[in-house]
Amino acid sequence: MELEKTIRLLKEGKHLSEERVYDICLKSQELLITEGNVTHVDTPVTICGDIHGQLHDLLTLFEKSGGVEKTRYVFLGDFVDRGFYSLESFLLLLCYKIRYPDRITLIRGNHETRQITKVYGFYDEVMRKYGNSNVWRYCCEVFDYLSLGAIINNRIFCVHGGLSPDVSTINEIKAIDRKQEVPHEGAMCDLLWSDPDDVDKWSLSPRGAGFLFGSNEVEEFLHTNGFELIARAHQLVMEGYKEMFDGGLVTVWSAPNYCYRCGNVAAVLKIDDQLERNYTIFDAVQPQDGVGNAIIPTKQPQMDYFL
Amino acid sequence: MTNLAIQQTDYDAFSSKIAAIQRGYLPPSSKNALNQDYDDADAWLSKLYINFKELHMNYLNVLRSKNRRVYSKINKASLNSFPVMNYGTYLRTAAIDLSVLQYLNDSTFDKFQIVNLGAGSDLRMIQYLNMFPDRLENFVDIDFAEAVQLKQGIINDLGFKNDKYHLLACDLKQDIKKTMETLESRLDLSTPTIIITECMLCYLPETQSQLLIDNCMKSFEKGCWISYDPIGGDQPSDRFGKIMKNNLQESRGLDLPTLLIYSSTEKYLQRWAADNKAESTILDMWQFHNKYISAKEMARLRSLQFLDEIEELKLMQLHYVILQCEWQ
Repeated sequence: MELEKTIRLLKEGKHLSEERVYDICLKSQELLITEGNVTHVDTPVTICGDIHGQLHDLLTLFEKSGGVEKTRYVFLGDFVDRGFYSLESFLLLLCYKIRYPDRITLIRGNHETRQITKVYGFYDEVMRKYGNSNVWRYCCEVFDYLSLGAIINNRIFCVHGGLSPDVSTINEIKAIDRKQEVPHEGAMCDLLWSDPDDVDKWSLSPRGAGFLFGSNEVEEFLHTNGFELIARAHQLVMEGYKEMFDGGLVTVWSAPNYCYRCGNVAAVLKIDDQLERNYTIFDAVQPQDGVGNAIIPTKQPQMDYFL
Repeated sequence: MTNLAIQQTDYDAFSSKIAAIQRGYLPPSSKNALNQDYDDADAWLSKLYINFKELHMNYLNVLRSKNRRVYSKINKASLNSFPVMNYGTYLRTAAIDLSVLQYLNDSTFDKFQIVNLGAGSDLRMIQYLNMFPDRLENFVDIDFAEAVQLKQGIINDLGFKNDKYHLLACDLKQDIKKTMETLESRLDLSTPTIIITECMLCYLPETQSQLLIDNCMKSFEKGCWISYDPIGGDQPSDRFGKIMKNNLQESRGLDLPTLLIYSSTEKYLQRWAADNKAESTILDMWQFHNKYISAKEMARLRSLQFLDEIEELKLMQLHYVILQCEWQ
């Protein structure tokens, strides 16, 4: 079957024709357009954080957590940028979405935008691999259709970044017109950019977008909506995950040895039918030289250090 | 390790600087950018960074006509610089200049001299000679012969000529006697001397870096050593240094012999501690960031580009240090 073949090629990091990529993007868009801004998902489910183009580590993630054939997944966004295989990672997830639409939920991260991907590597990766930006444009079209959040068993709220001062109920998220480039401010922007922190009220974010929010904001949001947990990604956590505010919020990070230099481990969070939390920790794939899957292609630009 | 691998790090440093300039990070804002406790801080900084952008862009333009290969390397790298790198380059530049100015501000002496070891394409000699035309007696830049030749050609074309400036070829890995002879050929040992090592000591083997420090501090009667380098980190769970060492070794044959030896601020500082009359301070660059960059300046930097990962910035800056050691 054509899709199975495409999946195999993507796993091997092989080149796909522009037409094939267009086809995948169009099919995913047709699926995503039917989903709401906030998708409802049932347990058991495995929650995954940032991937950032680390294809080989994404394959490890599936391997360590059961695989999409047997397991349901929620991905919290940031599929692209920084790593060397943004395109393959994103397309693989889209192919899984087409192949197993009920088993995979994709939420938009702050990197899934035209503006950010032009700065952080995905655009350049496509130019390098195709010599033109068509494939990047197809992918950006898909970005605009990704959900903004998911709710597991009506008890766990999944989002890429965090809360927004403009959002107190889920209905307010449902009212957003999401099919657009992520704005620089407002509810949609905040959901993708905000961070939890030790603050007693909404505060300015050092990232230049979104807000910092503290335990008060989290408690209120959980209470108002009848939730027990906010599961989000967006921030590098050296230990792979970090619970805050008496377990009312967790950050899940799934890109081990981020940018091939940070030395962190990665995690995914499995939620069972009793809403028990089980973390699986995994490490980066070791670079291999010469034959086969060299993790860092030899002709890549230099990794970033101050020299 | 070949000298070429070390020499090429200059292109990284210079392209990072160009990127930070083009994106508006550098120079620091001339009003309340840095938390300083002396009165003239703003005036000094704005004087130091006068025509900063123009100076660097002119240098890059002349480089283009001198060496197309190096130019295209630098130009390409500068176009692909991530915000986290631009931030770090800003911090690195500010930290070194701030240390120099602080030392001069606290000083009671008049005349002084500056040595930049492994200077590469750094243009501080022009900035400082312009800023202190009377007080600055000598400015010496040291680097590999090839680097010196290229730089000399460029500054000739730029029309920069100053009798107090000496651009000297010297391999700092070689016999320390030769290094000291080179330094003493142009510098006066009794004049207060600022020695800058910006990502230089980290490429030297342990013994040579210690010999260099010891000999300079012994030969120059009075001075201030200002050093910026990576440190490997010394927490058991910290893998940053080990990964950095492997990455650079594998991707470009660049060795960092002491990264995992002087792995913490305390260990890095030890090398200057042999002289018990010396007074040293060291900060990791995240501490520097939190202590010296004003809220106003942080807001300005924030507005330039979206920074996608604060944690990454912090992690990286925790693994670089700025040291200042005064002796007399």
